[in-house]
Amino acid sequence: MKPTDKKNWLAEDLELDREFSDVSSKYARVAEEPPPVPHHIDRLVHGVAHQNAFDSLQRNWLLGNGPQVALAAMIFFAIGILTVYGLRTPTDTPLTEVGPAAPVVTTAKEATSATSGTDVLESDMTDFNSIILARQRASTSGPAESGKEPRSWVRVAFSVDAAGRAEAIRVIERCVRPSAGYDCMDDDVYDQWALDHIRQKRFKPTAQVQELILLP
Amino acid sequence: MALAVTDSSDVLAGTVEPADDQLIAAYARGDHGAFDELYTRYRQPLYGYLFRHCGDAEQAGELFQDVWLRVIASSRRFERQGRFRSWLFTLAHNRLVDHYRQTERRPGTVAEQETGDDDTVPADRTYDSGQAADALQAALTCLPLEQRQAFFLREEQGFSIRDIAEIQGIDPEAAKSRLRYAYSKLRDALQEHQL
Repeated sequence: MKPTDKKNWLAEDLELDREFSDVSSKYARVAEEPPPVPHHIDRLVHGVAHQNAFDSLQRNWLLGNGPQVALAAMIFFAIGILTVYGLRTPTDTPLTEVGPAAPVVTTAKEATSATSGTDVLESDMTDFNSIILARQRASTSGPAESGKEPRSWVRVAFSVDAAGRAEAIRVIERCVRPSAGYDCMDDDVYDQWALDHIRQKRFKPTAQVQELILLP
Repeated sequence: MALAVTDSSDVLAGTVEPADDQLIAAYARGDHGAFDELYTRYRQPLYGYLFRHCGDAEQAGELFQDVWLRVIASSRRFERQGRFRSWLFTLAHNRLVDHYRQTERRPGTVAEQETGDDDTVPADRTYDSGQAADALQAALTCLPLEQRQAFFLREEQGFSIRDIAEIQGIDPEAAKSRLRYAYSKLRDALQEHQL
């Protein structure tokens, strides 16, 4: 701080006023009011000022750089949200597990198409086809022999919530093939195993009830 | 004389002048209504100040217009909190200095040159035709520009010593000295005419 800043300038002002009060009072008496500002100057200054303000608004679209950045961030955020929800929209694609692979994961719909022999399925699906074909044979023409046919399976139905978890899990049937034909019966051990297995998995959310056949 | 504001009372400066700052900031963001308010506040004081110096309405109007155009152009760069009024008169001070530098004429000599008679007070001068007015006018005419400015800033606009120092870009002691010289010379002129 400069030395002069330490001075009490209010006192200096008052002292100056006192010392020259006579001059001030005489000046106040004789000084006339200045003329008013000419109107054409008022108009000119207002015109320039308003134009400048308009330019400022145009330059600072949406009130400046800060809001522009915020707007850009909001747009990117909205795009991100749309993308995420777009990916999570239910589709007609086959149900796919997100977690560790289950022994057999497919849908009844696929299985039906597979029975017609029109689709090429993966290895897991091949097993499933065998089950379906075997069951059809069992129900119509008695026992069937196939080295690929599994010895047992559990068929479950469930729905998938928004987080991809299975809920309302219902065991439809649990079957075994002791030697010839199939024997489906109640079995708490299979039921519990199927429930535990399905609960550990994550699926694509869908509004439709899903069915899976699990091979223990 | 109404002694203001900024130097002598920080409280007043804090309560009155921030509104000017808000207005100039709003104008810088594109609010032309804020400028209208500022202009209404200061148009007549500024014009009066310039007119006192020039003694000529047309010339004062030209300078007045220039000062406001500078305000408009510099509004986004204004950063002196609570000091818009001082800033405005600083711009006016600088414009006056430029003006007299360009014309190479001392303030107050315009009327003399136009009339060709030092003893005659022109019709558009700001003082009445009485002796006191004549004496004061003559004395003011003879003052150096800086002292004359300091006198008008104090008597007409109520600026404090520190405000005047800020406007003129000098030390407060120098501003006080200018004021004392100006007042003393005016007093001498009045006493000389036994007024």
